[in-house]
Amino acid sequence: MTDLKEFTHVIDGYKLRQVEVLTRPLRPGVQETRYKIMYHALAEGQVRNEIEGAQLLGLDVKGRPFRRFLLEFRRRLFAPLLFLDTETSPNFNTTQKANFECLRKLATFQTLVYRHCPENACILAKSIIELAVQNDVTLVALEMATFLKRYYVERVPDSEQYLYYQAYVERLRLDWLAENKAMESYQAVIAPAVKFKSTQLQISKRAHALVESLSLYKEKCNTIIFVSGYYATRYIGEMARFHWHDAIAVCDEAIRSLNDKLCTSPRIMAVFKVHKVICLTMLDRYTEALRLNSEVIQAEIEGSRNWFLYLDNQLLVSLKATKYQFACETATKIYSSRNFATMPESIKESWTLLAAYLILADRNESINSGIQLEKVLNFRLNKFLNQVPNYSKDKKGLNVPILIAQFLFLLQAKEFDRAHDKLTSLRKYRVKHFNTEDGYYRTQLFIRMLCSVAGTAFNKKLFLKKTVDMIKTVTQIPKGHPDQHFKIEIIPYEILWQWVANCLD
Amino acid sequence: MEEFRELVLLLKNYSADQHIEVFDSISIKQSPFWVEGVFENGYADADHQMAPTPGMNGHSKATCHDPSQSRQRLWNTLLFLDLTQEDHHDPRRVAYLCWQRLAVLKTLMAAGAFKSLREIAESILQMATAYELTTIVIETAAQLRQFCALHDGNMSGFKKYCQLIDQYENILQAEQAADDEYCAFLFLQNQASCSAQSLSQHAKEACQRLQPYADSCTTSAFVLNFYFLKLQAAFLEAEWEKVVQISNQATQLLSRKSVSSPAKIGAFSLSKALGWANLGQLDQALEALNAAIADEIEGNLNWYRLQEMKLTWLLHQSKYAAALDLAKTLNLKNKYPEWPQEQKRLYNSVLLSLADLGILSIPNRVKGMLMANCLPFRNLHLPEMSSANLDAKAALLLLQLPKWIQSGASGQVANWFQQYLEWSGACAPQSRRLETLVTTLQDIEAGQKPAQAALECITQLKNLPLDYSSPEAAPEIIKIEQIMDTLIRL
Repeated sequence: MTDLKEFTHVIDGYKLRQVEVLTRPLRPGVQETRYKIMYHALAEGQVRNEIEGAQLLGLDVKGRPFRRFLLEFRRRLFAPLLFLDTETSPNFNTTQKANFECLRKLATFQTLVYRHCPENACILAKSIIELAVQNDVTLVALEMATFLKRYYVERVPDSEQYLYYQAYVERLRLDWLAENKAMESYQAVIAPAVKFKSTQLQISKRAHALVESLSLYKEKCNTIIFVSGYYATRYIGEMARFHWHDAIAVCDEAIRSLNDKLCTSPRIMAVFKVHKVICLTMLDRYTEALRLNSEVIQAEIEGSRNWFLYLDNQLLVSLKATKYQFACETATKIYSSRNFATMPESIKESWTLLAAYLILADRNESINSGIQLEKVLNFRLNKFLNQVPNYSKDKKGLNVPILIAQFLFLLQAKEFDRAHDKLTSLRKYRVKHFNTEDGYYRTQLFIRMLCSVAGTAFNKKLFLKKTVDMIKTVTQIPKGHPDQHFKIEIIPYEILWQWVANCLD
Repeated sequence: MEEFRELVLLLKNYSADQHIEVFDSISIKQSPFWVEGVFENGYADADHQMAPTPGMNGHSKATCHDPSQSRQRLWNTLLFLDLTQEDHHDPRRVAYLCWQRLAVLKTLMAAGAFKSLREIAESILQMATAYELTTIVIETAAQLRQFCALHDGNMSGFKKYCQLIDQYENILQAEQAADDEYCAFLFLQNQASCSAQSLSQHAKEACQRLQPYADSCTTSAFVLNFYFLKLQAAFLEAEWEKVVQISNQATQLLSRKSVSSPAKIGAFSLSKALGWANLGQLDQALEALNAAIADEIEGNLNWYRLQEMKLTWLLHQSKYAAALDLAKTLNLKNKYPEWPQEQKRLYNSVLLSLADLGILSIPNRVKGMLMANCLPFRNLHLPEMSSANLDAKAALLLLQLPKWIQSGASGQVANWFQQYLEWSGACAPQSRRLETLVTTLQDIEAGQKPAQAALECITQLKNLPLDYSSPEAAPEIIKIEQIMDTLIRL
């Protein structure tokens, strides 16, 4: 009972009536605290903004009492957040559950340490260290081992235990350092691609140098985070050089390595599989790509965010492979999912674009799905044509498929003036963002072909004459080389060229 | 309110409330361990005996009898305790709050709730940087770095956090090296075969290895281990001026930081006090000891130990009235935990013995209070030689010496102390002082006049000063010289 008695010192000093769990239901007839009232109002959607929040409490929205309330309210949300129900939720796999458990225990452990409850801290550390080590939760394992090492040399001297935990600490310190370096390397090569213009070659060189420096740890560290960071840096380096075969080899090596670890989460494995899918797609190996992607989807929990992202991949690859029927089935699966509404707008916008191409395919190729695609995909053409999507601001080059799709819809509707405006935007975009060093040769050529439509006064014969040589050149350039962003050419340009021609008289 | 809604929805979607098993204010105080922990010491108040309120958290209301279940619930409760009544700037509080928030941050990251993430992370980083919580700084900066890289594409932010991590990795390396050296020293110290000389040598070499870091790293974690090692070397070589000097340096370094834990500074104040005491400067020692006491949390076991030390030193200085006042205060301390019973009884007995000897006058009211918690100090019988409380037994027997000598049983007491020396493992200087006492008692048994023998004993003890560096092994709550002095007067 020593460890339990230890608590009496800590808890005796508190006003225990203030132990409050905000997430518990409101009790009828009991005057609840403002924090609990606010929590439930937010959960029920009764409060949508600060004005409503202040009104609920009878406070001035700009006054200091309300600001102070918000600060304290946030603080009181922290403790319940450590108690997420990961056990019954389908959205978390075993490794993630172990992670959450370790984090919760870490918070408790450190509280015990700094509140002078060493006996409890010792019990907790011993009970959680194995779980943390088994699941590669290195920080948690390191903190526990460091405490136990000191405990067995300072508080309860025991040479054997001390030496045991000392060895643990040394290993875990190295793991922690290596993980940090690996993640930094991965982030260093992935960050430029998120927002900034960066030539692929620079990324490739940087990745190569970083992989070199990580090789110091390669023999010594085998944690999931390190292995993931290390191989992710490597495949980004290979992909940045458009070495799709090499990138596939790296992904395979990573998958093998992670497979050896029992605690590897399918989600981490999926990162490498999905990138292999991209590489296979860039090599026109669509069948293999789709098969692997299906494997990834199978391993993911239906309705989770990642499940949607993998379906998004499947939809894109199916369109590239011109397997419109399969694309149609995939899109239906996405849009009919119960969790569709909970997905972020940015992801939904990506689906809208793919839906637009699917509808274009249906109009040009008659998929014969037997369903009204516009209705199923909740596609509103006017909205699509008039909105400037966030997606366009996101990454270099991805504005192109949006403008092309808008142009095709307008061309089909014979709205030549508005179609001309889209061509102007495309031309400006090409001049502004693409140059000869940038690659994107297929896209650059195709934009030039499209822009030539305006010069032919939307005449089919003239258009074909003017572009026949260009389309031959496009066909000769493989999709994966030179540089082409995975998502820029949603349906092969050769087919889009045919669709353009079909729309002209 | 968007970021609040994100958190609230996360909680709502994952039904956290079903899994938060905390004790409510009523049930926690009805559990058996609470009753044992609080009530067994004779302390109770009306609030602790409240009846359960109907309708309080249903599933947590039941009293837990299974210790592991109780423990789990208590651990959970710990995260929900109201913290507003504590000192917001207490470094220990900041530390565990930062760890709690880091765990929340990583949970949010793993659960994909990004809206609140940045704000929480920035506040953790600010606190952890200010309070030198190196691991937390690195972990939080790594989360922010990831956020910048993967979500924002913010390269300048990414670089900023990379630099911060680099900087703190160097600090962490220094802190880890100091921790390793200190643990290695303790490990050696725990080995029975290790001599003081080799220990001292080890401490000195460890300090030399850490010196390069000392120039660039001044965090509390590093300073503590580094200066503790320096102190150990000085202690082991009995270089008391050096002990005072090192303690002063460390206290100055740590005091400059608002983030230093008072208890850690207190540890150096105590070393300084012991240094001064061994230099024979008990006034300065008491001053330093007072500083150490002030830095401790009032009422914890360490605080009581320091107060006992102060009590002993006041008695050594023959400041009996001050000692009585202090004992009175400690006796009256009724907030849990109380002054440990064994020590309380020993010191009360010492004061009462002094009163019996006519050295100290104790008012009847106070005497009654001391008598209520004391050992049988008036019974002349030789205590059993067992390892339990041997020092306390020796301390009490020392006080009874004049009576034993007067009753002509010096030889028996001499034999007892002879045995005590074999059993207790008292440190060398302490043993020599007791050996002198044993010789004196044997001389008296052999027929020497007690006053003459006592005088000779005092003369010999002048060359054998009391070693204050290992106070736990010292039975001399009243110095042998003082007892001999009493013998002469008698």
